[in-house]
Order: sequence, then C-alpha cells, then structure tokens
Amino acid sequence: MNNIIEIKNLVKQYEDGFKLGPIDLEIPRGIIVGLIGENGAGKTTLIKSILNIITPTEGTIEMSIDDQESPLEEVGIVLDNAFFPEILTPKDIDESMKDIFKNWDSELFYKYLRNFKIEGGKQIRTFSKGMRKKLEIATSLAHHPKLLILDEPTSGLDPVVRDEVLDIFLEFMQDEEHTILLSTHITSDLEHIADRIVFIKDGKVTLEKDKDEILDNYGILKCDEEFFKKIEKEDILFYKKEKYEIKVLVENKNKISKKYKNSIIDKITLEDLMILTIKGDEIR
Amino acid sequence: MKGLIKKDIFMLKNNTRYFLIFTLFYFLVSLNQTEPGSSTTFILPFLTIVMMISTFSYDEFNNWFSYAAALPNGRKNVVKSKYAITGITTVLSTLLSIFLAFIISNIKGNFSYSEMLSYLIGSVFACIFMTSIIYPFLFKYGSEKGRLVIFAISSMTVGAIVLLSKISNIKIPSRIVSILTGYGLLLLIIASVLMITISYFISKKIFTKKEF
Repeated sequence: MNNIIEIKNLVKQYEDGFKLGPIDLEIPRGIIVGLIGENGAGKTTLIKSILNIITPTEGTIEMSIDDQESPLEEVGIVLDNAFFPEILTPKDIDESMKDIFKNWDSELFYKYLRNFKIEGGKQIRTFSKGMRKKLEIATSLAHHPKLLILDEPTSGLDPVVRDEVLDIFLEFMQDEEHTILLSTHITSDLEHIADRIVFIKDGKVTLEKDKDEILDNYGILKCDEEFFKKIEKEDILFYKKEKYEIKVLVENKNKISKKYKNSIIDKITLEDLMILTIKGDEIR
Repeated sequence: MKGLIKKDIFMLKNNTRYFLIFTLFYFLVSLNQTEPGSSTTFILPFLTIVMMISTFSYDEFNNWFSYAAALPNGRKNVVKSKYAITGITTVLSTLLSIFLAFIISNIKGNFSYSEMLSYLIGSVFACIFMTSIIYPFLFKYGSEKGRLVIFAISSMTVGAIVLLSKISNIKIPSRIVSILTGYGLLLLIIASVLMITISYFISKKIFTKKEF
C-alpha cells in the first residue's frame, strides 16, 4: 500500500450536533497534504481521530507504518493547544521523551532549540506563543518520525519564523518516505509547501486535489451584473457579489476564457478558493 | 512509563520548596506536642496526595492528556505512571515522617515504636484508601471535581467515625472481633491491595475510553 493513511467511511457524531463525515480519504506516502477549512469545519476532529485522541463513531483508519505494534512511535505531532504542562522546561521534556520514544534524539532536539533560540532551562510558561509553537515543532521532529501530523503548526508565528519552520518541513521531506499532514488556516503556507489540498467544509471533504491542479485549473472570473447573467449555470461553481463586481469561481479556466470572450479570469489563491466556497453562493 | 513518571517528578520538583516549608512547619509543631510524630506521620503522605492532584490540574490546563493520548502507549502509561508515582511519593513521605518522628522522639526522649508503627500503618492505609477512591474520579471528571470528591470523602469518613462511636455499644459477634484483632494488619494489607488494584483497573478503563 503506498498510502500511509487510509480513512474509510469515517464518521464522528458529537452530542452537540456536530458531525464529521462520512469521510473517505487517502494520504499518499511522500507528499505534504494540507487540510484547509474554516474554524469548526472538522479539521481538528479529523486529526484527533487519526491520532486516536477521539474514537470515531463509525469507519476505519489504517496507518501503514513499519512499527505495527506501536505506530505512534513513527508519528511526530503538533496539536492545537495541547502539549506538556507549562511548568516544565525543554530540558524536562528531553529527559522524559528519552524514555517515551525509542528513537528520541537529544542531540537533534537541542540542535532545534539552538536554531530556534529556545533556552532549555526555562519554564514553558515564560515563553511567547511563537516560542511554544517552535518548541512543539522541535519536539515533534526529535524522534525521527516518518509521518508528521500537525494541527495549526504555524499559528502564532511571525512571517520570518514561519518561513524558517516551512523550510524545516521541506528539509524533512528530503527523505522520500516521509509524509506530512497539516491543517492550517494560513493558506499561503500551503501554497509554498503542500502537494495536495484537502478542503473540509461542514464536516465533509468538498475538494481533494493536487495543489498545482487547483491553482492551474481554477480561476476567478470577475464581471458585472450584466455579464454574470450571460454565464451558463453549470460554469458557476460559486459566486460572491461585491460592491463593484461579482466574483465567480470557475473550473477549467482556459476553456471558460475561450467560451466567454472579453472575460477577465484571475489566478486563484487557496484563500480565494476558501472564501468563495464558504462565503459564496451556489446556483446549482 | 518511565518517561511519564519522570515528567511527573519534574512537575513535583517545582513544589518541593513548599513541601519543605510545610515539613519544617509540622516538624516545629510536633516538637511542641506531647505525642511524638502523631501529626507529621499523617500530614506528609496526605500532602503528597494533594501535590499529586495538583499535577492533574497542570496536566489539564495545558491539555496534556490529549497530547499524551497520541504518544506511544500513551493512554495506558498515563494511568500506570500516575499510580506508580503516587506509590513512590507516598512511601518516600512516609519514610520522611518516620525519620522526623525519630528525631523528635530522640530530642524529647519519649519514643514508642509500637505507637509509631500504628501511625505509620494508619497513614499508609489512609493514603491508599484516598488514592483508590479519588483517582478514578480525577481521570473521569478532572481535578476540579476531584477536589470536591476529596472533601466529600473526608466528610463522610469523619461522619462514619462519629456515627460508629455513637453506636459502638452495638454487640459485634465475638468471632468477628477476634478475627479483627488477630488478623487486623493482614486484613488491612489485603484490603489495600484489593482497593488499589480495582481502582487502577477502573481508572484504566475510564482513561482508555476518554475523549479529549
């Protein structure tokens, strides 16, 4: 199996009414998969299900990892708002993790701490939000994982550090057996590093495609009311009326631009895609 | 499990100063008491349980349990390590109590081994009893509600003792009395082992199913 994770018919029903799924998803080995979606769409629920932090109501999740007895040995994690108690120090984390992960590499851990300018002897509670995130990232990488599962790993980081962290993720991907699944609402990060995009909306996967395919294929047609009326319904995926123009999300942008002469079709960013899909209206 | 025990020791380390101040305070109080060692013997192991509960609070504050659940054998080891570390700290604090009682008695010159032994057995049993009842609640409901449980148990225990002393003129069959006096210690040991084992398995069951 060349998929590192296979999710079949995953459903998680909460008592408060939120329902994730049913989701069928395959995460191929060797690529970076980005999960996008608005807050509360189900990204964290999906990640927690994969990591066994919550139990799915239905469905199966299979991880194809060498260490079948303890697959989590090979998974590095960064969770949103969950880590070691803040009265501990990075040094304490190193000492504890030595006996938690078989492959814990103290030298590598301290190398990351030095790169991130994190002091080993200080309590986590004295760190800024960005420093904490960096410490979590260092911790996730220090046991030589093959799979990284990261929930909002770059939130709270300034652009310079974010860039630094993304470089570390790309360095991690130098080994072609390595895989990253990360969720983020900073979609520009994914434009830099992701190979594949999974878009979650209201607990369901609404789009799952290679990033380049999305960026090359989709476009935003900007037009006025009059032009909008001429567009055939099946060509409109989503549209959003703004003050001076209407933005229409279209697929096959080259075909569309030939079909509608004088149309202006802009390149799409993942952020546009997210906003139009969430805030926009559908005709069909 | 060793890694998680270490983590809890590092957390307890932060409270060592308070523990030592408290110990010193009780040492001084005991010096001025007529009965040697009576307060220190019970107070210190009790204090370690309170300190252990505070580790649960810190764990919850940073959602450690959610993170730990995604570590190799995390769920199983979290429960195991909490029970193990409580055992270790209770034994250590009991030994410290004995040591203090010994010093106090030497200073005051009224040392009674049999009295100290009964205090020792009493305090260890009380700790096991408390841990056994509180921990499943802590794993199920968290430390905030756990504290309420401690309060409830303490009140109920005091209530039960008062009630028992009032109805102590009730005739207990002589056969039971002779079993209790003859095999008291053995019964306590069996009860302790049984309680802590049942408590551990309940906690494990709660924690393996818990969602974070």
